[in-house]
Amino acid sequence: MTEARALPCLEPATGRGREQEPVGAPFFLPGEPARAYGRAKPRLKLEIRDVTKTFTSAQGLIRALSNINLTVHEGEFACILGPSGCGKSTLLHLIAGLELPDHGEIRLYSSRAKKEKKAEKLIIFQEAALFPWLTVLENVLFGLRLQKLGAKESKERAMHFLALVKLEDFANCFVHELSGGMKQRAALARALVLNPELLLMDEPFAALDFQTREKLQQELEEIWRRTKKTIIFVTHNVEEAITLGDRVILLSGHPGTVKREYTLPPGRPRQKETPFFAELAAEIKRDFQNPGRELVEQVTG
Amino acid sequence: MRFVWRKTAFYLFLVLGWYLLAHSGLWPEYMLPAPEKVFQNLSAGLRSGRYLLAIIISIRRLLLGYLLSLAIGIPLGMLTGKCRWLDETVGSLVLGMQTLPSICWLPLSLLWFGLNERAILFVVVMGAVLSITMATNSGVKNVAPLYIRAGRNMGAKGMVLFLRIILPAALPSIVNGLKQGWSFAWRSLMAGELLFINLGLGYLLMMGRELNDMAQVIAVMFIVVMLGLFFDRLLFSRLEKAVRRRWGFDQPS
Ligand SMILES: Nc1ncnc2c1ncn2[C@@H]1O[C@H](COP(=O)(O)OP(=O)(O)O)[C@@H](O)[C@H]1O
Ligand SMILES: [Mg+2]
Repeated sequence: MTEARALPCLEPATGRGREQEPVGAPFFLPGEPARAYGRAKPRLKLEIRDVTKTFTSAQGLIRALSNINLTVHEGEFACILGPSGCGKSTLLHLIAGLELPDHGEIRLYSSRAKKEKKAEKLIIFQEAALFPWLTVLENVLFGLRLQKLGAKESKERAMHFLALVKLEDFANCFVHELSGGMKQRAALARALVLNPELLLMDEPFAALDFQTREKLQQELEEIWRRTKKTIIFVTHNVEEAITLGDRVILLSGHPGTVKREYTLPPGRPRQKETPFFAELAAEIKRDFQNPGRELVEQVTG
Repeated sequence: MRFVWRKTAFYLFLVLGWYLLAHSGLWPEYMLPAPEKVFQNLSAGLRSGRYLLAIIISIRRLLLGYLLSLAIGIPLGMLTGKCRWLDETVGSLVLGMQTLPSICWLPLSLLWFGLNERAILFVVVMGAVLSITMATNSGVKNVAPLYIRAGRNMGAKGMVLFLRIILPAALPSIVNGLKQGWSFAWRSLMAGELLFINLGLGYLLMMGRELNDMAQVIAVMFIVVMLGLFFDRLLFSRLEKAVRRRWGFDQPS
């Protein structure tokens, strides 16, 4: 259930423009171009309608997701926020086509030809999931080899994306020789090299230390700006969601439902030290911790 | 370095003790020959080519049986690892038969194949093939689902998924099985050669017993140990180490 309660400092989720400018220092640094999202009419990229997913386990049925409705626009950076166990990973697996929903529809509006449908939705997992028996470069080449691209062209493309994530000097390293942050960068290169329509990131920075995480957030934002990818980024960290997202979609758990959406003002990079940021974070955290009306009713009724 | 010294000192001490005991006259020579007697026997046997021939015959049987075991065990392990109903049927049979010491196959083998090379080959194969099958099976079954998910996400499926992801991911376990299979093959061969006498190192051992030639018995035992160590150190330990390092199991600290 999406709650439609208006927040004074927020655009409503419908995106009709802010009614009130945020007070205090600006939320973002001036000078960065505001993205098209929210201004020009954006094209729809992903549509999720009434999606429900149930797992069968030893304890019986577990309803992981219930009635999820969600749209994502082309070039948008959508953050899905929710406590652990609320079904975020399940949702990404469904979007990626690794699992099928019991019910409902997930539609990707792809600009690709039919025969290039392979690897249009790529996941980056929390644990990077690089293959340890391959070098970093071979990992990045993995998907390209499946697509039967020429060896020379593949390598050039792989090296280009390794350079984009600043790993060109580590191309011939083995996976276990990389730090946690470098692994995530390599995983990012491995996904980007396949030029996906949709990039799905499942808490990619959750296991990293604070400094590495901030650095990677900045780099990801920069890469997003340059590649113009549509990203769905899952996190359980409120600050991370506000720092990166054009929009934050809050899920509540058991079963996972969309609780609320927050559309953030355009313009980047986001400034964490502004009152706006702090207010918004506090607001989301309140919503995050509130069990939510549906759940309260369930418990008391 | 200190490690090497300690080891050398230990073995010198051992031989010295053996020497003193053998010359103490407490036991007759056919029970405890002196180390120099064993050494003489060893060098004479090697020079005359008698031991060399036995070594070649045994190694040939071992290699043949081992290669056969690989050819059967690896595909069988993959099939049972990937296919649920095969695992529940054939897999359970393999698991059950593993409890049977392979030398127990000898009577059956002799009746089926007669007193010839094929009988001993069969015993060697039965020794090695089961552990190779089981290691491949569990390696394939226990591949981290994350790797499979990542591979499928990038567009791998079917045979490609199997060859490019499941197999390499299972390799550490398979290598472990190869090593274990080799040592089982080696043991089965020695047991077979002892019981069913037809050239080879086991045959030399039995000959030593029949002639009351304890020096020969110990010399041949020494050869068997050396050969085992040679293959283990030179081949399997290196292979295992290389795989473990590449897969990142052994982080150099
Ligand atoms: N393969 C599965 N089998 C059974 N239950 C599952 C499976 N995958 C997820 N679940 C359950 O679904 C719920 C949501 O899990 P998940 O999507 O991993 O949450 P999150 O990523 O938000 O932490 C959890 O209660 C989890 O136990
Ligand atoms: Mg998760």
